[in-house]
Amino acid sequence: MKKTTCRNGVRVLMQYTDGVLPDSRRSAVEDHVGACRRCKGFVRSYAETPRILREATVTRMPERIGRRLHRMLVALPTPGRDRS
Amino acid sequence: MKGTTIAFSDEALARRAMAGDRSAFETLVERHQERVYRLARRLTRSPADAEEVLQETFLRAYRRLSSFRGEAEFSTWLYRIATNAARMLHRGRARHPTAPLDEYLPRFDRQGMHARDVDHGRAADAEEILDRKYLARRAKEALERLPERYRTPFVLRDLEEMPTAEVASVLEVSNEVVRQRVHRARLMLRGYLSHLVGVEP
Repeated sequence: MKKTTCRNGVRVLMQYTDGVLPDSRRSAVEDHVGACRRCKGFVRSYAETPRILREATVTRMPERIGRRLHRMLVALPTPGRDRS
Repeated sequence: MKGTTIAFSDEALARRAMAGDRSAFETLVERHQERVYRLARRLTRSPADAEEVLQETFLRAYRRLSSFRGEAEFSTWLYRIATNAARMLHRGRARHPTAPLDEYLPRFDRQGMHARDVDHGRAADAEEILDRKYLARRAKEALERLPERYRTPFVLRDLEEMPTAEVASVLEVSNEVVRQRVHRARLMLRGYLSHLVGVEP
């Protein structure tokens, strides 16, 4: 098997986090990351990125938008009958 | 009648709505409007655009109820309509020129080992990291700069936290395509937000 480098470890990170990497590849990646300071930091920031974006983009729908949606829908004909 | 429909599944409500039960459709709207709006807000540039996507989503769902066959979950079908509505909205507008994020992808040396990250600017100070408005602005910029083919799967998978298989079903692509696109999005965003995610040079 090809030696695990940072590059081919990074290439399979998503499969790794999704749990679909075969066991042998998985342990090869873990061995490499365990011994590589740069990869440890990389994996940490890779996992941190979605969390930061998720928290920074949480929004609540303003009530007025809900009211406008409701007004628009009640003005429509019976559901399922409009083929336009 | 309104209070009595709440215990029905989405699919059962959709069937009732198809048969002409207006309150069943209203219940579906109440159940999903908040999440569709949040998704729309993450896929578009402004609250006005998000509202347009929200309205368009439920309008199309309402008109196309008869095409809902129950093969996928109702929510998957609805989010497919929402992501298509967001895509159509972007297509109909003049494109904002944005520099690609490729320069933020990780770099490796000839042996395949991590090269030093490019210094994309000063690191954020602690106050900025704690400033919610600053974070929201940077996050928004980052998402806007992502090409649509990466943004939509990333938003569904990582921000809406849908399982990969459900994202694949919404976008009608394979699980592997979702993984490839989400992965590339994460790599670009990680580099772009390096001053916030603690990237070591």
